[in-house]
Amino acid sequence: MSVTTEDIGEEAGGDGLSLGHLTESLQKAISWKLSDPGISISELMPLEGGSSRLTFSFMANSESGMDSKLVLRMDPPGVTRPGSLVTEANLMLAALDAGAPVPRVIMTSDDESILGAPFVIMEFVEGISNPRSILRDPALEKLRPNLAGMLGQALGKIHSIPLEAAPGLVQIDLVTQLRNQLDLLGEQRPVLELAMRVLEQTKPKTMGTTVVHGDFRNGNFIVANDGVRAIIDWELSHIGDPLEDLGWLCVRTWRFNGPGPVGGFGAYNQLIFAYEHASGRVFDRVLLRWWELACTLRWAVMSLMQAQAFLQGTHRSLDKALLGRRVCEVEWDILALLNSIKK
Amino acid sequence: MSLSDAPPVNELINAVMEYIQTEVVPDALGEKKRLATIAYSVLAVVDREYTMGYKLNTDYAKLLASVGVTSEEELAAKIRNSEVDINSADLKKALRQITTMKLMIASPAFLERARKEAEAAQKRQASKAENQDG
Repeated sequence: MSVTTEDIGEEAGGDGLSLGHLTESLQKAISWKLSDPGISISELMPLEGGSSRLTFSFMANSESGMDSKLVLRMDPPGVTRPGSLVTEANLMLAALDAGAPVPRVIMTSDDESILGAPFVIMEFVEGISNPRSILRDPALEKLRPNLAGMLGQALGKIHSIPLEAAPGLVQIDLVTQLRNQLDLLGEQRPVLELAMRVLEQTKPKTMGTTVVHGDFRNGNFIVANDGVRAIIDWELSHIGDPLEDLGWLCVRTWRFNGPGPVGGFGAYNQLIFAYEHASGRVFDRVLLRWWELACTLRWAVMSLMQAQAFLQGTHRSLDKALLGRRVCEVEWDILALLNSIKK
Repeated sequence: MSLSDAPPVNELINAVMEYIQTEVVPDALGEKKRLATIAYSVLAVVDREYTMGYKLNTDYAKLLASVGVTSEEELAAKIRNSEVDINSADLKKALRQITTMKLMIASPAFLERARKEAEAAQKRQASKAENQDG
């Protein structure tokens, strides 16, 4: 799957990220990949998204009139993470094989001389991904009551990906990771320490060791009224306990003020029934609350990291500044969840 | 008594907030609109901290004293080192109150929503218990 500059024949990339330059480099790369020198690239434009990666959409037009809308995802030149995007692309291919809805990967490479940074090119999936639209758009009226169940099914498929089909993923024990991250941040906050202690004392037996999407939440799926078209943003994928993905989907922040505990649109039982049916894993409902608490703590830690990036000047942005002040929202949720964990 | 002349700080902050709300947000599009709205929210935090911060800080010190500490860092260390009973009702009450006060400055809309949700959940719980008793 992965290509090198040698394959393409000449250096096509550059350090600059002018859209014109990128269009030229893309044209060479896609022409090589599709063995069609007549391919032209047009309408290259950045897509919005909160990811640390750059995302663009563009048209690949062939002389025969076959036009395809594609998506380019790449590391920002200068802050590349070699291996990471290729791992992500391979995982998306494995997810497709497992029957999960994912965009079809066309091409990926770590070779920075092609586009200036590691990248993946995939098909553009039409649909709605904005979380607030997913909650309120009248065009999705038919979908909303069934969405939690559909996501449970998709998770069942993602968690069935054979580990050997997803090389390069790191195994993460969430509680250990959170402890290390809190220590590294040097943040001493009583509510977070309380959550940490309760999680350590009540840690359940693992539900298995599977691929974990790692950011399976409202905002990272593309839907239409007829169903879930694609699960996107595989950047935080790792190996771990499958229930982590279910817990993360239920974190209150990702409900965007919607009434349902699952992503703002669904009920716990809808998600659990569909997941149990698809995966064959049956579990006590209280276990999901434990994971919801662990994942809520995860969001508090991630918010603190972003606030620290603002404070240290590595990423000055209004969003990150405000996130620091909003950690108390997550702490409120943690205190509420602590009451529902068995001691 | 203050060295600075009028208008006072909160009036200045409010003037910028009004400008963002009436002049910037309506004409901005996409990302610029989103960021202008966030800029407004950031100033609203500053405004509330300026207005309520002094009083809340005094209450905050009293709450910390009620659980035998002088700072949140000290309390966090005690929780981590098992020097306090993590199931203590007093501890949970103090943490809930501290979090509430932080939210009063940082996110009063969240606080209002969360309180309503908690009340509704309590009512559901109570009626469930009543049904079981009956």
